Amino acid sequence: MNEAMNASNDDLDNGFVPDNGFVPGEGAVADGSVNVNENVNENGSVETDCGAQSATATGVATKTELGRGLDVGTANLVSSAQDAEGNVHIKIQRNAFLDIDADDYTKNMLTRLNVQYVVINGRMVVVGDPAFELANIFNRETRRPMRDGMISPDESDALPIEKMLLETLLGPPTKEGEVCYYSVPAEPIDADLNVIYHQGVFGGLLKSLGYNGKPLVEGHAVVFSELAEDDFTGIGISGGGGMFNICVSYKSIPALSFSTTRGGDWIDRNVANVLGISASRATAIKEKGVDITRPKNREEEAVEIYYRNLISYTLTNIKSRFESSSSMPNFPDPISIVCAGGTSLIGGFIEVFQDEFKKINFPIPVKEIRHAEDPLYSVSKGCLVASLSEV
Amino acid sequence: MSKPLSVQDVIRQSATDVGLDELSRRGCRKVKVLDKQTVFRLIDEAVNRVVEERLAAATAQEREQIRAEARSEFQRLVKERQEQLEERVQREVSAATEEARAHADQQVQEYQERLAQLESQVGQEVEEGRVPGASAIDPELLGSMIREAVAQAAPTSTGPSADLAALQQSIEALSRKVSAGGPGGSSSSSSIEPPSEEALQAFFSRSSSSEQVESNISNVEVKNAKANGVNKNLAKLRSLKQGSE
Ligand SMILES: Nc1ncnc2c1ncn2[C@@H]1O[C@H](COP(=O)(O)OP(=O)(O)OP(=O)(O)O)[C@@H](O)[C@H]1O
Ligand SMILES: [Mg+2]
Repeated sequence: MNEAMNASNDDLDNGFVPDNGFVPGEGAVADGSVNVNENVNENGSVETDCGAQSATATGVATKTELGRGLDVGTANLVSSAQDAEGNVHIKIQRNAFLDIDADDYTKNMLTRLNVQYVVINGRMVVVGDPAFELANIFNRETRRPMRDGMISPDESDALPIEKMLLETLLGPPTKEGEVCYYSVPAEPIDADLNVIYHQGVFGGLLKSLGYNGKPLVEGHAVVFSELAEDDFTGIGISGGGGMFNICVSYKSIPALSFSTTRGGDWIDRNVANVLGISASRATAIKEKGVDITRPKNREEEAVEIYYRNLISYTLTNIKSRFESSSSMPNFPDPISIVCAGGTSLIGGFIEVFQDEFKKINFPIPVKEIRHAEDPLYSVSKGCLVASLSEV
Repeated sequence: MSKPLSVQDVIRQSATDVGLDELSRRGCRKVKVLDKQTVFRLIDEAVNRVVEERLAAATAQEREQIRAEARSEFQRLVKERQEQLEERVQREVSAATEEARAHADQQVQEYQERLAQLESQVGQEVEEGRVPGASAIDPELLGSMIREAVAQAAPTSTGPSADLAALQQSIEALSRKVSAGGPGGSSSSSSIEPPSEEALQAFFSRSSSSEQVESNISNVEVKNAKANGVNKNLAKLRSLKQGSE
């Protein structure tokens, strides 16, 4: 569990290359076109080990390459694998659950609705996306195994639930000890949170599933998936539900990584607060398709205000960390900044980011601020790149 | 559609109560009595007759409108009924769930509190400079301590609650070693971490084999999605690495 620790804590500022930091591995690169996989097909599964849970668009059973990617997020868990043709297969589950009374009536109802459930200690637990949908029907809030980017200390059922969700996303490994890089937050600068405990928990969970889990700081994963054309030099940002993760990278080596505990949930809480509505209502407003450069009503204005605040908070922190770090490499050319994560999906995110960027005197020249190719899958794909490069 | 007519309400609203004394004072010696059922029946008949006559006279468009109104009223009633049912189920569900959960929650909470206590204790020691930083830890040594602690606890486990107990025990054992200084002389903040990983792993690998889990989870489809390929990233990463050698 050393890689991410080294990559994320302050030691890095002193020694530019982390001792046990991520080192790209060697091996053949599979040729093959970039493909898209959308439909679920129970019969033609990619990862045949995973049974009905995986599928290809073509329905032809193919073997996956060794090496998996896993984005462990407060809001979403995202797994990725590559098949022999170079297609990347993504699976995504909401990181949430709901427990209900295990009586026969409910069991029948859930079975009829084709909802996945597990009985734990006499309670029926519905996990992932169905939990979210069911919570809406019953007008309840889902329970969340993670908070602010980490396994939640207040949620007693978090661990078995996470194990179950990982099982549905990864299935068994193709080979015992298959490498699976998983994302972990960098050290938060505005909260006293225990990244190492969180990291250990997921390392242990992956091990119990038969994988060799290796942590990768989330911002670094964005660099791997989005900054190839810049020789993995630049700034990768992942704006998630619980956090913003930032990684400044020079030729694939992280020079500075940190996180802040403000993300989509922070926006939801604040918007809910000023409007006097519930947080889940605020989430719904936000995800409905707001453009923060053109707010249309009071609600959307509230969303804009907090988005601006969040973006400027993030930029200010990057700037001050840059200035206080003694070992920042000299970037010979202007760099790119790439924004990924669900929180970057709001309409106008990049425009507002560029707008706020102009307001601060950023310490190094930046040639471009752009959106990630697949904002929601960037982190998982970065982890996949790290795993595949070790084979 | 307008509010449905309640014959009972109409009768109640348009009738006046008159006492028997008052009636006799007015000179009424006999009153004709119609029981409620008969009144309803008569009204029903009257209404049916009117409706039939109207329907016969109605144009196709009017008939369609009546049918539509009837249908939406029916759907409204069904929905209302469903909502009442859902509400009741939810109420009952959450009451029973709360109770069943309390016990398990308490158990797990105790374990978590213990862990948190240990963490803060060790964290404090680090802060106060009583222990060296993470780089001074011998991971081998810690690993063996954990394995030992977990192994000691393992034979007692016979089910999920025993697994929990075993985990708790392993943490207790570890905490004793940590606070006693352990082999090598000192504790450190990271000494909490390997136990989490190892003990958890022991916990999960045992609980998955010993626990009878009722679940339909393996038959359920998980959301699949599109993604662009990563081969160009891989190639770049490898060439970068070769270049730096
Ligand atoms: N269309 C959208 N517009 C705005 N926000 C969105 C949209 N879709 C999702 N989000 C927000 O994105 C967040 C989840 O993003 P993501 O899946 O990247 O987070 P995560 O990786 O699970 O969390 P973290 O990395 O912080 O632990 C949520 O706050 C969600 O409300
Ligand atoms: Mg994330």
